[in-house]
Amino acid sequence: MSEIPNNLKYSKDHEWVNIEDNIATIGITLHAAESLGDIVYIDVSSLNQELNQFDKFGEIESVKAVSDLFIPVSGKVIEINQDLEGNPEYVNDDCYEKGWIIKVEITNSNDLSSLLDSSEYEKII
Amino acid sequence: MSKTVFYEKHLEQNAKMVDFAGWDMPISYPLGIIKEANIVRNSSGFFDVSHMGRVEIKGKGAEKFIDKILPININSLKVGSAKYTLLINENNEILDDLIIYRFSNYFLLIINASNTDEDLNWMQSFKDKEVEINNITSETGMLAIQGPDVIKIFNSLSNNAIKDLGRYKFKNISIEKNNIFVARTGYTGEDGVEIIFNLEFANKIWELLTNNNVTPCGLGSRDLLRIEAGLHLYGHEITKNSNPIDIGLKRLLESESSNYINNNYIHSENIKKGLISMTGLLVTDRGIPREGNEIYFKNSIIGKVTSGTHSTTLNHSIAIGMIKKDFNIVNNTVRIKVREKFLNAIITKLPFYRRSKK
Repeated sequence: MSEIPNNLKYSKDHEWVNIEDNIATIGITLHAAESLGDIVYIDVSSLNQELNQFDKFGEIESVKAVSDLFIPVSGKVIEINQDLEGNPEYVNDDCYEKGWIIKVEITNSNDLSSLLDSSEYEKII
Repeated sequence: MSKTVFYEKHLEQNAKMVDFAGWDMPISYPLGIIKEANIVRNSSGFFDVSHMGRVEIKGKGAEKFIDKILPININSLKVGSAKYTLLINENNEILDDLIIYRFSNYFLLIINASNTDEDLNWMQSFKDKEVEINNITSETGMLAIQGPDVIKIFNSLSNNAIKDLGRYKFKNISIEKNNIFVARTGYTGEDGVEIIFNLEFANKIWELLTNNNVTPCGLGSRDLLRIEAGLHLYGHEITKNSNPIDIGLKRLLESESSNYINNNYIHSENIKKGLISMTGLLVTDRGIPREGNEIYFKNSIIGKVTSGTHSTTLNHSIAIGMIKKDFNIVNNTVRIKVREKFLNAIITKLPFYRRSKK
């Protein structure tokens, strides 16, 4: 059973979102990380790029597969987890903390209503 | 789907299971492909390879039959020795790559799971009354135990039974009264053994290995390790229509026997005129080339990727590909089209990894 923290919001594409004020920290769920297997590359959009909800914001690649990353909320990219370039395994080992991928400044807070809570997300995996 | 004798063990260990040639097999355990591969490179791991076909060729006509169907020089294959070879049909199509083991009065062939039925059908159609072909796949289990510590560990489990066993040699030994076939062969680029045993011994050997810190590893790490070691996989580097010389396997065409069905083919001028060749590709950008990706030199397509992975041993992504011979120049940079991106790669001599000899 994959761990699903109840303080986070989730997208159907298996991204999690942690919201603090107007900043959203985004990563992929344990379910997604386990399905991909050992992750070796994470390539994401550049800083300051403005993205609309569910735009592709990057790719995550494991030894066996590649998957697109979709932004769960509209926003401007304000930080990228630089540690993942040298330590992509953080996403497998600690996807909700050290394995966060990107932070955006939320530009449309209405987007949040279309995300799932932990119990809704649990039902789709 | 077919299940090996270790199926329940894989589930107990929470392996991620996949369909491999009709067999429900572990691609990895919770450790993951990379850690499993590192364990094999640095200490010892074992793989369930019970899905591979195990076929005995027996009877008075066995030697003549082998001489007829395989491109080996049968006189150079001594009792107790193994040889890697190709099964090529009368239309010059490669049906399989395999290892043949010579016993005093019969032969054992270990063939690919994906080709077992076709190989057997074809061999049946060629045999006469003096040849007996027994498929012992379902009556036995098979493990590949690989890594620099394996010989030491296996000797400690078997009362030093393989102390003097050389590379590509095999023997029958006994562990706790169980008869076990042990060959010093493998598919990872590491030292190690491959063993075959009766089904009743399966639980015991799993327990013996794990109690001695030999780690179960899945087929995902096995694939990574064989790519690093530059070893062919049927369906990728070897296909039905491959020219053995193009794919770097000229050395296997050693038969001089007029009894061999492809005697003319392997000694013909045509076979030497291949236009493509196999190469290693060391990727210098981020991303993993996958099978079928096109390889470019400047703006022309010069070939295709046959296998790709990420090597933690080298800290680069790597691939094997087939490219036009004229472009196969070590240290040249080519580009591989991976989805919509181009990744730079350096043409590299295979293997990517060679173990240090002690």
